[in-house]
Amino acid sequence: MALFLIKRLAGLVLTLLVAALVIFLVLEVLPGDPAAMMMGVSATPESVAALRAELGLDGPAATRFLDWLAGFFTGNLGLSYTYRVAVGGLIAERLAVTVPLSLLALGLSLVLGVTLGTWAAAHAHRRSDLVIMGLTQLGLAIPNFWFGILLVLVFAIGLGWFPAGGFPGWAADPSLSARALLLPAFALAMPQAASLARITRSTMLETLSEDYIRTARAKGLSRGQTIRRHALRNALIPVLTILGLQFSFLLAGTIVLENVFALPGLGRLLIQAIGGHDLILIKSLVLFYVATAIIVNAIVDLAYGIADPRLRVGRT
Amino acid sequence: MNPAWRHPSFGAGAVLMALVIGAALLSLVWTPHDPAAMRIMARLKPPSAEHWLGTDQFGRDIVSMVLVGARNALLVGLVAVGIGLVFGVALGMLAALYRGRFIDEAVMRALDFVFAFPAVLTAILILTWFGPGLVNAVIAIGIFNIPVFARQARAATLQVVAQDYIRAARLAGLSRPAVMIRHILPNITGLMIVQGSTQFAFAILAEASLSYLGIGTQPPNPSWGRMLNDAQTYLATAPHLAIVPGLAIAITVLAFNLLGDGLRDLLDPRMKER
Amino acid sequence: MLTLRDLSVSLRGRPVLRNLSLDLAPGETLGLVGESGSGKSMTALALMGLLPPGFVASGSIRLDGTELLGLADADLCRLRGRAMAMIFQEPMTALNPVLPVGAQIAEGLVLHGLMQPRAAREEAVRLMARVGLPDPARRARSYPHELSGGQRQRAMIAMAIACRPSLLIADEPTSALDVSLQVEILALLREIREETGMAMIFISHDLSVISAMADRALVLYGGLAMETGPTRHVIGRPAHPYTQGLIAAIPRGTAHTERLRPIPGQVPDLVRLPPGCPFAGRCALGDAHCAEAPPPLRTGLTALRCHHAEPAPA
Repeated sequence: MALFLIKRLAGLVLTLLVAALVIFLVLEVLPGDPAAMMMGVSATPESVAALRAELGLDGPAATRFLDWLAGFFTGNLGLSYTYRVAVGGLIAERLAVTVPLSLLALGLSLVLGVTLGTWAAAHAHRRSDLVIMGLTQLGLAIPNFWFGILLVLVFAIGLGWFPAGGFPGWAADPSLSARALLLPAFALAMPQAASLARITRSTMLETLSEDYIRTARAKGLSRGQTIRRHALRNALIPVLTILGLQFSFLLAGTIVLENVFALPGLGRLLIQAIGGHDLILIKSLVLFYVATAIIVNAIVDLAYGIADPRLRVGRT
Repeated sequence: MNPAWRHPSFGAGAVLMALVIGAALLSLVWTPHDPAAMRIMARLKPPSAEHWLGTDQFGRDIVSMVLVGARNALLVGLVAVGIGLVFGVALGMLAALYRGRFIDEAVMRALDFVFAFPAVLTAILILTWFGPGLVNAVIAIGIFNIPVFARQARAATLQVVAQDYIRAARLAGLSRPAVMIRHILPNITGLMIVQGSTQFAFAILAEASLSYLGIGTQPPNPSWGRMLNDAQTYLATAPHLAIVPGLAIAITVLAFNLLGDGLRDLLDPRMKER
Repeated sequence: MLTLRDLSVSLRGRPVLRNLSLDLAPGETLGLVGESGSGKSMTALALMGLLPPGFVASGSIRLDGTELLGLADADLCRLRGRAMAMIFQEPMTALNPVLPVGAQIAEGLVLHGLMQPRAAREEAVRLMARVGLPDPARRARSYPHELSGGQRQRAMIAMAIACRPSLLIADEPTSALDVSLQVEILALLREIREETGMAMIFISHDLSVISAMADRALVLYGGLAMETGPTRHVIGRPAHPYTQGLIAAIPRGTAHTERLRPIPGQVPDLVRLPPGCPFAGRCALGDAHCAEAPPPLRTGLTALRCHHAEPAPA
């Protein structure tokens, strides 16, 4: 068991290192002079040199790479070119929006997806199943950012229940802040919920035809009890494997939806950084996203082994 | 009538796709107005006899822009799927050919790695280097597609290779590459088309997101995602601008998803659930 | 305590079980014999009210005076596991792979309101000891895949008898096990039957198992009861050509010296049964009339349905 974990961990660290190297090469080594790229064609050689010195870009690439990696642990990720503040602090500040947004969306998509998928399987081939499956096709086809815009149109501009965008900050107004995250989280969750519902339905249908479901019914459990106590866990094990992939899409989705709702999260920061050619900021942000996706995938892999007793390592 | 058309998903998908392709083809020869012509006097007009779906903030005709947008979307899907298909199938079959050996391991590991980068982030990496633009966005989406096709192609190839007639072909003296091209490729084509349909839908959604963020298709080229970005600014005053481009994306994505589902059922009756 | 009158099961209008009638007294064991596809399992599932979707039962099933057919599922749930319980053939797949065995045994006790969860867990351990599982306290926390086939079937038995049902339906409980295990499981079932006095319906394709377990036997073929009576008569003096064929097909003690005589032909598809005697096509006595009209019921030492054969006089 310990050996297995160490192997997994080593693989994970290696993947993260390679990811960091690729990002570093693409953003800082391949363009030639990142300082010149950030300042654009009109900059004078003197000002470019000054910026290079200010951002610490004149050292050898290998040293800069190692310094950058170390920065992820010390928090010293350099200065943002456009904001002129520490990148580490900027990221930490913006996480207060992106983390709750993605967790809320993840929770919503899981609850909606699993409930709808289970309902559809329990009523397979009946009208409610057809309706749910039709809705999931729509959910997969509608772009999440358009759905977000429609939600704004109806619930913010039309009914005025929610803010159309913006974020007051947790300290300033916690309840309005929470409400500001609801519509974007819902828009973000919708395509994920649709795809989870489809997968849940098919694994649930397969599970419901298993012998142990009949055993449970023979024991006196009702259909609903059988689904909740015996089928759900078995049906969700395969669903878990795709959850990691789902999370990658969700993360990418936060970038888009933070921009739809003008939320000051990492995604908006990233798009602003791109607009300002702020390579220093882009570099750390992209690695942050990619590393999160890779780490979550690894965790899901491990969770899979825990959820299915047949795969638990170290037991007979 | 061919029974395939009676399959509900396939039939509906085919009809919707015909609609989208029709719009794209039509836009080559005719649009109600010049989609790029700006008329400052006719800004943000609601639907009328002159402009069926109104005009945008520059006075451009929405119907014309949506029609030309179909061309853009189909082109994006075609190229992104093409990139994924060509490189993915080649790499997947190569890995299957050297199953269990170093090349297999190296190729699949590398592709897993590529897959860990969400498409939007790959796009961001590419375009910070080359600058924003449709071509770079499409390349990024195509790169994300490569591992998807490669995994499928590898698994499907291994399955086909295990069958007796492949062994027979090998015994008959055909070389490995010859067996791959003559016997295995035709056998996995169906699966690749199904996957291609799904990835086509994904590509259109991804390009729309990138263009919405301002890092995909650049003006003056019309793109549905871009139109939605513009529309959002005028959401309170001209909400109709936000409806049609989104609907166009949804219909196109729905068409390819339905088509893919239908094809999967039709190609593999065992997978059929309904 | 159990009375079946004209129980029929059909799938989309096609009969798969026809007019089955039987009576079962408390403590009595009925053996249901037949080749696979004869309708044995369908009978058991109809009794439990667990027919697969599309199958429809008609007639009458009365358990302790309660008519089961037409009962709402919620009412059936109160009886299943409590008044009647069932053991399935496949111990490999009939247990939930993600729940500990002990929890699966205790579940029914809590569900039927007999015990609190903690007491039920302790009772599960006692039941596991009763069915001969070694180290029951530890085994209760094991998952099904950690148990052998025989152990799983013992756990299934513990689960079925947990609520002390008055009727136990055992559907081929030993068919998936090897011979020495079969003997042990059969002995266990006999012991439990003595202790609890429950009635049993024992389903098997194996006449020797039936003769070891059942007071009375009912031979099923193509969804029709062919011959029924006390087990010793059905097996010792079979009168129906099909029963005779079945018995002739049993490999005896020195199987190598005596040739096995399988019944020629194949079991008819349950959903494509002829209107008359389902055995007509394979029967030595069969003629054109047999396949046309349902065979009449004749009673004697045993009761049988045949156009030609007569039972031995009682």
